[in-house]
Amino acid sequence: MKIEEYLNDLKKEYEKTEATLHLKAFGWDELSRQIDPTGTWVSFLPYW
Amino acid sequence: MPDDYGEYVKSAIAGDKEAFGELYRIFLNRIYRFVYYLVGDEFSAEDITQNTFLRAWRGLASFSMDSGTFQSYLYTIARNLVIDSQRKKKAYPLNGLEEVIESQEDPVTEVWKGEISEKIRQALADLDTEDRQIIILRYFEEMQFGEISEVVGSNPGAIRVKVHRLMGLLKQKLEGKI
Repeated sequence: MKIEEYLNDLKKEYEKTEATLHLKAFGWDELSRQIDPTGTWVSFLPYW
Repeated sequence: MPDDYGEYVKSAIAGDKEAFGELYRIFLNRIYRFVYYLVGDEFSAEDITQNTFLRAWRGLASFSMDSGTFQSYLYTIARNLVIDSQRKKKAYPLNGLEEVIESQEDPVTEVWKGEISEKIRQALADLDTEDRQIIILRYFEEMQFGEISEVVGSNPGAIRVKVHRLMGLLKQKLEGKI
């Protein structure tokens, strides 16, 4: 098996790594508060 | 991942925060996993990921789609934050992959099961962070040499040579020659 094939197998597993549940659930809201502390715009629930 | 996020980028540059929110949704997992595979712990990866997007938003006024892709813009910020983080924590090992293995019992651990996975894991873990990120960007993120050069601040020809050299190095490691 070539090194590229090994890496391709590894890539499949790499792609399974997702952001933490905390980031998925609250990341955008936390970030949006830093971007716009006045909160004059509507946050949204992300659709993952 | 959608390839048509260009409109979101244009809107975000114009100050549209909801468009930036869409970009966050599109890139969150990718930036997180890139960072996580470099730093090796969830807490740091979360922190660096959030700071990446915050800096990206704050720097959008100076970002031009003519000078590079939004994707390379994000990865460059993430990379620089990883480097800053590791400078601050000099005692922290750069071999993030090893940390991933030792600290996790989630699906990430499953990645490395089996002899071959172990060999490739070790070979990658033995690379320094700079080299490892090039392999990740090239083979996991499937970036072209030109885009990788934007991220790491080099030129495409040098990246091509480096990838070739690293692949040779990994092959030798897998074959037990070094």
